[in-house]
Amino acid sequence: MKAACWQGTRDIRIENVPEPRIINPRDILVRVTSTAICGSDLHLYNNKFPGMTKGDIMGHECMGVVVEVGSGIKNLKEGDRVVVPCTIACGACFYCKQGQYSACDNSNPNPVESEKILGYPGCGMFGYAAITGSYAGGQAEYIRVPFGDVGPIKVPEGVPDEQVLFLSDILPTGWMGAANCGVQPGDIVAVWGAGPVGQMAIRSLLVQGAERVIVIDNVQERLDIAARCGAEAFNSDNGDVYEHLLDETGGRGPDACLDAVGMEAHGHGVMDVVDRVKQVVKIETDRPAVLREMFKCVRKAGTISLLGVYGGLVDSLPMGVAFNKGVTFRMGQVRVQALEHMLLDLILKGKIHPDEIITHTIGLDDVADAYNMFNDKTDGCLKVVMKPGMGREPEVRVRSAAKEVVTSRP
Amino acid sequence: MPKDRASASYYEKGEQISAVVTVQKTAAEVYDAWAGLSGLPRFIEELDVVARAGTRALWKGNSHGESFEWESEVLNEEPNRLIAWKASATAPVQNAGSVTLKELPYRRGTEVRVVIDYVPPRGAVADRVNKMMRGDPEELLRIAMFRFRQWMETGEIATTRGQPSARKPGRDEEGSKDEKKIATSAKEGR
Repeated sequence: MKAACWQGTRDIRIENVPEPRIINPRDILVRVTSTAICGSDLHLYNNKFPGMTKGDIMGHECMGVVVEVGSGIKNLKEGDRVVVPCTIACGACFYCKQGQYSACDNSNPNPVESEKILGYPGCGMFGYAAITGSYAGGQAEYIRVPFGDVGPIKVPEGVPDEQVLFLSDILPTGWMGAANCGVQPGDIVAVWGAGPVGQMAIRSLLVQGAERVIVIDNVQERLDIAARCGAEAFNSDNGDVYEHLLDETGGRGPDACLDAVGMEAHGHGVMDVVDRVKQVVKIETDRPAVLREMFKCVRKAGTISLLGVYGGLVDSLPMGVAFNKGVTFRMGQVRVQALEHMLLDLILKGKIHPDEIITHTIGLDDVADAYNMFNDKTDGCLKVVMKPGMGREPEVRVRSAAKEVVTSRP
Repeated sequence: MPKDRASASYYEKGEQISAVVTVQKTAAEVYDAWAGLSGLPRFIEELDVVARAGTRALWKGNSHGESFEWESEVLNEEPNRLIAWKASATAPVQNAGSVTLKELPYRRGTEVRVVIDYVPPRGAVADRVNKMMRGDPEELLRIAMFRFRQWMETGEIATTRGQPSARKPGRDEEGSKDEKKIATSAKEGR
């Protein structure tokens, strides 16, 4: 089968690999009908996250049709349409039983690898390096899904892939980040990052009852898409974020700040230079510009919710400011399995439209160009969906919300 | 794992390794799974069989192409609490081990602690053992304990062996003997 494989820095290639097979009784095999590139795939693409081996299959957002189930699977059968969560969860360990699926004890085949680097044994995840188990990912024609009776969620026939695909990761991620803001009536929430996760967080915050959502980015097309669903956009190239937020909140600061940017944040000034140097010499893995800004902006006794992936080490955070303000921090890898049923219901009821952010739909063969475009934010790219069954398409098809943006450019 | 345990090593010139995990099962369920040591091959892939006859236990297995076998005496068995053993004098590596179980209140699971004392082998035996172990003994024990928890809680052992990739040969373990073993053990079901 064809699969998008990691071959080094900024080098993703389609390779011919064997089709997966059932290995454990609770495995299922899925023929992938749609798969997406996630912002966190870019950390691997740019080789900023350790533990990939040349030839590993990428991708942790996918859905498709069940083609085979292991002997231990009772709730799914051949022909079912399912969305596959990005993280793998056993459903039986201490954490899974409490709904903390992304802390699963049993889904990582090499938890010691994670323990050595991070100090704890992390859960398994598709297409994401040694510390999450080096599972083959979903940017391929087929995927083997362990614990297929816990994660994959059945979707009804007749609902297009595009509406439900993001249940795999970014919609529940955005929802969890929003929920971690603990929105109260009247709350103003500031969201850093109008990328795919930021877009999902904005929509989730509005459904959860935020009075106002202010989104900060410097890519105007992304801000425009966010504004169309009800957020107030601020382009950080046009002024000081702190001053803007204080002004917009009557001098208080936002009740909650949500980071949907993470370790590759583009900062300014001397701290950014220091962070970049540290990152190159590998004494700091992450560049925490947004995090520092949120410390400064959040109102006293407010909440900071972290969604952007932080890979490891962060230096020089003004903890004294956070302490004296009495900030609440909430963060964590998404618990897809705890949220997917409720979110599918919201989608089917038309309360949330994840497909609004898709700017490009292509065949799997064009994956290298797609990574390049998404990474460099060219061609108005916000979210790429790949259709392994589509074959080689002569051109990129632009659709959905960003269409006007792309076509109206001079 | 810290080595500042109260108990000294069992052997005068020995090493001690230990590992502890918490399993979401009762002490009785965990004890039953060990089945007086004969349950071990279900989650320690290098072991083919541990055969009990009275207080004697015969351990047989192979790892990285080398087979091994030794006999041990079960020194102590308390249902749902502990089992302890000591290898016979003829064993290639002198070793003694114990598993102790501590069930936590409020259904928080059971702490399973394994302590193994051994005398590091020398000469030709050491070469064979190193070939079989290929790693830090305490880390291997810890991996085994994680696998034990996976087996107990989910009925299978998480693996990527046999999955597709475009890795160059030698970088993955596809087709290894261990893979066959895991696939077989998983089929037993629970």
